[in-house]
Amino acid sequence: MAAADTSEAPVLKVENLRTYFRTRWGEVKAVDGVNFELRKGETLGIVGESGSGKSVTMLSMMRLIPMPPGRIVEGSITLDGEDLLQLSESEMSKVRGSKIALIIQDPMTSLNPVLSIGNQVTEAIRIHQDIPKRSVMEKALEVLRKVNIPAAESRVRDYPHQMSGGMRQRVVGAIGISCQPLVLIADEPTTSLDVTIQAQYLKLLKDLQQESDLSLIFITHDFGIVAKMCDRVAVMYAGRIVEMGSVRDIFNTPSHPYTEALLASVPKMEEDVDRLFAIDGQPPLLHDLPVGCAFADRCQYVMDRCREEYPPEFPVAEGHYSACWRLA
Amino acid sequence: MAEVTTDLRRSRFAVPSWGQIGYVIRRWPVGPIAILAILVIVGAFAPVFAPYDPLLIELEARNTPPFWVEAQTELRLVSQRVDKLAAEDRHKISLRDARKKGFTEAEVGQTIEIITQPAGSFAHLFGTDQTGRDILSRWIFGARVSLQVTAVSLTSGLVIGVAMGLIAGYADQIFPRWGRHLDEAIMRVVEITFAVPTILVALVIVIVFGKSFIVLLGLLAFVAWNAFPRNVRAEVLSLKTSDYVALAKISGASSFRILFVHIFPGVINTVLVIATLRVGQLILIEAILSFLGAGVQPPKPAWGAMVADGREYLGDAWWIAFFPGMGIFLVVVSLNFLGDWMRDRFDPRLRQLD
Amino acid sequence: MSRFIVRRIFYMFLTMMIATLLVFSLSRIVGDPRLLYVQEGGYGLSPEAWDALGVKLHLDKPVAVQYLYWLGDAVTGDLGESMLDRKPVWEIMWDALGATLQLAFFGWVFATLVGVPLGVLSAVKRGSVWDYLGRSVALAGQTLPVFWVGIMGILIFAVKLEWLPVGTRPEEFSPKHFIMPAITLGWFSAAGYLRLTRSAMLDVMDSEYVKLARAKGVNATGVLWKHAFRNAIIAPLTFSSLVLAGFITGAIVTETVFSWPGLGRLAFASVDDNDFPVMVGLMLLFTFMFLVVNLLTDILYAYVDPRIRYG
Repeated sequence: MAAADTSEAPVLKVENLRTYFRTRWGEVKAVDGVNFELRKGETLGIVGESGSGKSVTMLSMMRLIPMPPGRIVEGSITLDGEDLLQLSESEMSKVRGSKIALIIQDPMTSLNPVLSIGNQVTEAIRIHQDIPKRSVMEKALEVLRKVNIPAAESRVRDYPHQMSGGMRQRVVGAIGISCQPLVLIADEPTTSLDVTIQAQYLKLLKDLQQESDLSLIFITHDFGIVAKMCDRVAVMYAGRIVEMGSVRDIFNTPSHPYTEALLASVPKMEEDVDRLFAIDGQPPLLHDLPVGCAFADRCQYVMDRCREEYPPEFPVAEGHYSACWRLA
Repeated sequence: MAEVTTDLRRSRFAVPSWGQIGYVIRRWPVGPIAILAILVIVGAFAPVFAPYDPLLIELEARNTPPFWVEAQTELRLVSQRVDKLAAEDRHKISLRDARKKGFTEAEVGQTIEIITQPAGSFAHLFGTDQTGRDILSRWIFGARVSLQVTAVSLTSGLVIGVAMGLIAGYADQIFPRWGRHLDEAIMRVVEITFAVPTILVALVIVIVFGKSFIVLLGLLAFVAWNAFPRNVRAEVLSLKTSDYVALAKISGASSFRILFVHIFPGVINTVLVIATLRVGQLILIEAILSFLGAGVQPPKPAWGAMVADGREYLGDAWWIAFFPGMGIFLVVVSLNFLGDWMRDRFDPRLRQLD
Repeated sequence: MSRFIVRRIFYMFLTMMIATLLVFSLSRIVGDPRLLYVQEGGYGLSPEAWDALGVKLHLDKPVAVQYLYWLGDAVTGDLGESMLDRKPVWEIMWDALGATLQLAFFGWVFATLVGVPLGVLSAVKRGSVWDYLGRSVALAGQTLPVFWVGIMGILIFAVKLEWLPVGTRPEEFSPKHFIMPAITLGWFSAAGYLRLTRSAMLDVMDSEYVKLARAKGVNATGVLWKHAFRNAIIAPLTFSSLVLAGFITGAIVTETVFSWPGLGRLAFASVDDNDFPVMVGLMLLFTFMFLVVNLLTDILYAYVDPRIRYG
């Protein structure tokens, strides 16, 4: 694990982020008060079930939330000193792709089928960097080689459907790093890949990170990836972070019932069980959140207080906290 | 838990509140259904509703405008290229009188036409045409003709089309060895018919086989049938694999029995939606054919033909062409809305049908 | 790519052959084909003329041979003479062709310039006034009967308001005369373009690659045109062949309404006059035009969508 540089200010700081959506069933509070920091060279993992708010958090950071139904109600996202939420749309589009970049999950659909690979890889470079045309293509080739695309010079004229899934995902990765961003967000980047390709891809990201002190945010539901790649982890449930700490802390001393349950549901090779563990119940409806702790109905340690009031963050150890009344 | 109380004081015969009525209106396509229902009833019982015999010629009352129009007199210079104008109204008039009447460009030697248009009255709500026939009555009977033609051709087209779809989808069960080929053959034929330019072929058929009613019905049935096989077949393909079909097969039911007793009911929804969407097209095509003279033959009133008649009198009697066209438009729009609603309600998968 | 084109041309010829076969058999279905060349009831031909016609149509020879003679004649340009005025069918059609092509061109321009942009607008500003406007225009185009639109147009704009001329193509080119016929012909297709473009844009705007493009920092215009539109245009493009095919039908009605001296009105007149040779000539010509348009659209489609080209 790369050692995080703790002496400087964090590269990215998200404070009190709230993103709500207006739907016909009411107001959905997809992200309801999220706080975290990210340092240079650090890898943060955000885990949770579908609907926990992890993808919306990511989209909010990039300001890609569709504005008619959704809106960012409150909060600040400070990247390299400026608050992204205060920028105008045209200023924001200069930030996207150059200072903060995104890798999305499905390689089959994330590349434009009618444009060549070269066109799509050079696009970000052309937009953000003011360099002569010839150099643009050179940069693109350079970045394609970095992600291990063989024979990049000829591949550049190909179209997405002529490449395999693994290669396409690497191209997406190349696009992400093409402008040397400060932060790279990877949204379930390996979900649609074969297991063997997954491993290669993760190693690639790791190498890239070490080369340029890149900060990574991994959004996933796969604890295996978390264990392999991340320095710190934030566990999300129903729009809020319920526990956050270093990977070691989370795995060894999970302090939130939800985290415990999640870890318990991961089947382990050494175990010999008849039934796989699954968490009882369903996540709450995001437009009808309960007053107290959102996990109360499914929690094995639930107390009266849990239903009355939402628990604040309690420190467990240095850099590790959990929002659970048990720690009061 | 919220308290649920049953207010027994509200009897079952309560008058619906505005809110409830609004709810019904928003959920059901009340407008289109109402329009269509009225037209169907009026058309079906045409003799009851029509104030006059549609074929009755009444030359004195010709070119009467609809009831809201007032009488007017107009002087017009007859152009060199004469289309059919009412010759009886042409007068000779002195230059001074012409100028007095406001026709300042008059010169000696020109032919001035004096057109007097009588006022409309409630005797003829929609006015009369160039031979004095009541437009409203012709309109009603025209509705009836459209109704008859559409009903017959839709039904025959539907029966054939659905049967083809059922057989094509289930062919490999009925004929284990060559069923698949039959399926493909049927689908190829259907595909080819999609490429055919309808009106053109219709005209050709009319030349070859003559302008009879039967020919028209046949043509429209042809237009009606090719919408069904593709979607019906798709339904059959998906229903084929369901459990109750497997059960019926195990119980020894014959293929035909399975098809018509078990699979067919599942197909009905789709068929209804397609039929509704198709009827609008049928009406338009019938109107176009009648307009071109290849459809319903005079003197039988048909909306398309009425528009064609009215074309020559556009300047003088615009209502001859207006009302039948309006009728076509209303029917087709209502059918469109109804069809969309039915599709959303019963089978949203058909959304790519347009 | 060139192999693709050659294959399509081959299929085109094949289909054309089948079409000629069908057309020919139509004339032989009714029994004695000479009946088609006379007015109803058999008037118009003396016994000698009747026999002469039999010789001309090679009725003494087997049907297959008749077909070959007929086909040979057709290919060299001899499609017989109009029953109305004895002019060669080919000449009559040629005179009318120009008028129809001009009308079709302007109708297509109208349909595309109105349908596609409104479709894009409708999709991008979904739910707004523009969306309702677009959808209303589309609905009107698909439900208003074509001939009625033309006639009402003449009524309102030519007779009552006198803004536009009544119709018929004048000798010299005058854009005013094209406006109403082009709109009448093209409105139905504009509606189709509008709906197709709208739904294609809506689909594409939701796609992952558009999201990625935004994440890359491409600005709104770039996302709209370079990424979204280029993908959305594929469906309407293939629709173009249907549109132009629809014009063949639509032209018949539109030209009749506006007394436009084109192939459509010719078709209508030939039905009215029972002029079989002209009808046959028109059918062959229309089929040929339809196939050519299909071929061109396929080629264009392959050019725009690389998946077809290299797939």
